[in-house]
Amino acid sequence: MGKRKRGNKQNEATDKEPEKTENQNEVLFSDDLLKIRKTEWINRQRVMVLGARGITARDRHLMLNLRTLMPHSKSEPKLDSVKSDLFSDALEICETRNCNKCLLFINKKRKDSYLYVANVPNGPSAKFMIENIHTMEELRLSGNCLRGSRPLLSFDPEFDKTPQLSLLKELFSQTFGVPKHHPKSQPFFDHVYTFTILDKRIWFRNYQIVGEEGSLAEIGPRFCLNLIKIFEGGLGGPVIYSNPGFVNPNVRRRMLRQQASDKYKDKVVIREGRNKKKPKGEEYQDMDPLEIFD
Amino acid sequence: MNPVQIKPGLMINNKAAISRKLKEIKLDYDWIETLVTNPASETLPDDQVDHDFNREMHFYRQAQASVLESLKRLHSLNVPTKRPDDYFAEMAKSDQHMLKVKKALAEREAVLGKIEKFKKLRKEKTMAKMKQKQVKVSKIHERKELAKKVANYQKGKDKSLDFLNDKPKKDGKPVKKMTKKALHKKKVYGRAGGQKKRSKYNTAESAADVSHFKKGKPKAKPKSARNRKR
Repeated sequence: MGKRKRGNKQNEATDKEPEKTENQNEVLFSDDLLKIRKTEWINRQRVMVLGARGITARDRHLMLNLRTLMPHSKSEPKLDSVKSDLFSDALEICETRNCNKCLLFINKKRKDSYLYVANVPNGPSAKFMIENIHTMEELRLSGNCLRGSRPLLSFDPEFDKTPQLSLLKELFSQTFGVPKHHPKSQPFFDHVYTFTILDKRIWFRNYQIVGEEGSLAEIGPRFCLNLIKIFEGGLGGPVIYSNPGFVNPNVRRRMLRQQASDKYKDKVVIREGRNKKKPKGEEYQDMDPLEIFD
Repeated sequence: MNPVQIKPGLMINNKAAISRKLKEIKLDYDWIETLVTNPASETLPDDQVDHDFNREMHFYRQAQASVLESLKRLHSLNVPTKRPDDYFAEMAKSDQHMLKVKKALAEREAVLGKIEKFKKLRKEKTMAKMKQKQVKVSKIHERKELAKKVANYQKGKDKSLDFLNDKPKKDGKPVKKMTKKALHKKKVYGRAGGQKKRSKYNTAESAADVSHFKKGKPKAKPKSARNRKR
């Protein structure tokens, strides 16, 4: 058996030899390689990852994590513009930097983080509230991956059930997915993004593929997106969908405060009622309540 | 918390516009360009959302399903998936950071080990205490039984005093297990504790013992040896 196998291998080797020599004659320069890559690099997505002034450290770290994971992203300094000019400035930057996708981080009151995922300049764009941010720097997340390797994208089947979610799926797959043959990407597959719908929110996770049999380790970042609105244009324009389940964080906080104050008010009312029921007057003062039974 | 009721006029769901936009941006590339999979996954019950472990397992399972599916597809397309060991490139997290992660992991494991150890010790202690209590109770019980039998004898109900012979020997102390230290001492000094004085006296038994005497005649020394001595 062994002998025969060896013989076969030799045959194969001799068969392959002429091809090899042909290849050797053909000297490939890095420019040629680039040309091949350029022709095969069809899916040209460029994502502008931007933060507006006022984002917190946590938001910034999340933004930087996304930049390291996405070789097709481009960066700019924080947008320092007036509220009314924010979107138009962002659009201008995207245009000058040749970007067709944009991730814009905004923070309000240094409490509420928002994310715009936009297809620029023609739209659509979606506005999310980001909840539960965990960055890649957290020591609990023990996985690691190549910088710029292409992620596998895993979407919850729920995404195909409603039109707004399938629109979001397309938007996410184009922004977060690394294009094939992107010059800065790596040729191996060692991590997977999951987008899952739970509790009417979209949960994002990034796992390292440790073994090909399916063992994973989380790399991070983690976050949870709560959809607010979908706009027709790139960063703005008419609203085509608004999430009925979304509660404005200000309203939410007010309700919580209201609940706390209601608790106190109820207590006061009960106390007053009890005091009213208590018998008053001189004739009741020395009365032994047990006398009634005599 | 009850969600705030949004006025129906303010709620927008323009399905026509949404599907139009989807058609506009949809890219019809091969699967290898996008790598999108939607694995069929079990739904997590709503009350489990706040249960951290179950929620994370839900995500993990979804990721696992899509990894298995996509790797199979990639292998069928003859695309290399695994990074060779000699392929080095910049990683998303730096080596320095990974060292930190490793250290944190080791620390966490050490703490868990310690907790486990203390739990075991505590359990052993409580068990020992329980045993002690049981012994105490049984001793009291025995004493009471004995007193009862004696009283019966005095009253004339029982005629034999056999029970006195049956009782466990109180003077015979239980043989103590030798500790390691005692064993070592015995090996070095021939005894571990106890009185040394008078320990080397002969007794009647030792005087009568001749087992170490050699049998037969003592042999005469060879000539050559005698010569050498001289």
